Amino acid sequence: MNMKEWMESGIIEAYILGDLSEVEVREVEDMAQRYPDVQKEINETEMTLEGLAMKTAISPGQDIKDRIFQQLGQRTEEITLPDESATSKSEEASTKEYTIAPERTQTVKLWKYWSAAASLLLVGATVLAIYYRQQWHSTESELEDYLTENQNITQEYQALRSDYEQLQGQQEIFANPSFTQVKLNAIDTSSSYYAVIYWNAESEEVYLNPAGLPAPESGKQYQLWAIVDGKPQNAGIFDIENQLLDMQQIQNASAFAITLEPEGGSENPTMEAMYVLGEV
Amino acid sequence: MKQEQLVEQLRNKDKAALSYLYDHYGGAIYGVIQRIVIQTDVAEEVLQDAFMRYWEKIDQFDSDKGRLFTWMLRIARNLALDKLRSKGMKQHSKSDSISDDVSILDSKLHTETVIDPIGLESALKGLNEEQRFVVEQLYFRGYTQSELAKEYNIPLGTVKTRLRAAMVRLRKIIVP
Repeated sequence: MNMKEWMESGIIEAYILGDLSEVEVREVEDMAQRYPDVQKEINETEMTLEGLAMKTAISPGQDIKDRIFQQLGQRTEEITLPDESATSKSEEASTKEYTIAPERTQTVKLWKYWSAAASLLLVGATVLAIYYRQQWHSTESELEDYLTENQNITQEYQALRSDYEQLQGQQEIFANPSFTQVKLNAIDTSSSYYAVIYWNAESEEVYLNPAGLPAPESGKQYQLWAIVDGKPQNAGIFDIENQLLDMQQIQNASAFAITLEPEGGSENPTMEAMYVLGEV
Repeated sequence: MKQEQLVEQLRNKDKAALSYLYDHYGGAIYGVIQRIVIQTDVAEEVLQDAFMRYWEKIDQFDSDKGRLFTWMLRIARNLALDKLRSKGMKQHSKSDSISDDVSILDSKLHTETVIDPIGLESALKGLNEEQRFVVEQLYFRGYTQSELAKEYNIPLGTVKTRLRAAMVRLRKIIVP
């Protein structure tokens, strides 16, 4: 098997999804280390699957995040508990030291009071320090939450804005009286396929709404043709997208048609594979 | 936030980092889990387990070997598949198309959650039926390539070619 065949064997996808045996995993990782092309392929496939997951995200119930953090809180408490008992033990040990030598002179006793007072003060100061530190931490994490939220809102805003700009562009075309709307109807009248062209005869701009066409078979692509002086003229190949497509400029069209061609398009339309047709 | 920075903070047991991780990837991970286990309460349980796992096992993540999301995806997928097996639930059969399920999910979840408006169907729109089927089964149902070949009597080579063609197309659609 050559390298290209190996890369295209589906092993990389299976590697990313974690569906390989340990031996195969090592094989892929070994190849990735040796060949930058393999590493690149892995990266790109990772990005694709990540993008797919992002696009198909489903929001979980509102309380799940809280539940996770609650569970987290329980576990961290379990961990910190023994620590606390350890400190109290050492405190016990230190108080013991004070009581070991009880019968000394007055000065020693006085010194004892002073040191007890000092320890108390120290304990008090430590408690306060810990308290403020926790306060500071929670403020900091709140701030991070707000920053994250802010970032989310910015992203949503940008997505909406780009949608809006796209819609605005379409709106301008719809509202412009120089654009003629041409409906392309299905050749196979038993189907309900259609497409809509917006053509500006002056500026020669052509826009296409492909929403009424089925997804093409693999290895095929749709191609738009304009009939100019009785002859078909290529107006561009396209993939089905959920928006108005900007096609090639066309002069003096009398009709438009769409055929399904091998990927990359054809010189001349395949008449048997014509899906829709409409006269201007 | 950059991946290295996020991983570093997770390793330092910074809860804000986990919160960030959840806000950014929770929905994507949940989408993957939900489509494998279908039942909402089970999916939520798996999601919770997955995030506990991310928190506890972040030291096992090796950034030389791939992206953080891939590591998260693998963990979530395995947890979801384990859950299916432990409950004796079966992966869904060929007859129920994924879009049917998704619309059932949509209506079920409608009251409490917001579904990403882009959705599975439109994300896979550029694929033909065969390619879409392979991606759905492998990626969203959690089949391995050989399981899929056996279950539906498709030669393994065909599964691989269709998957490959689908990935090439998806890459064009998804990675800008």
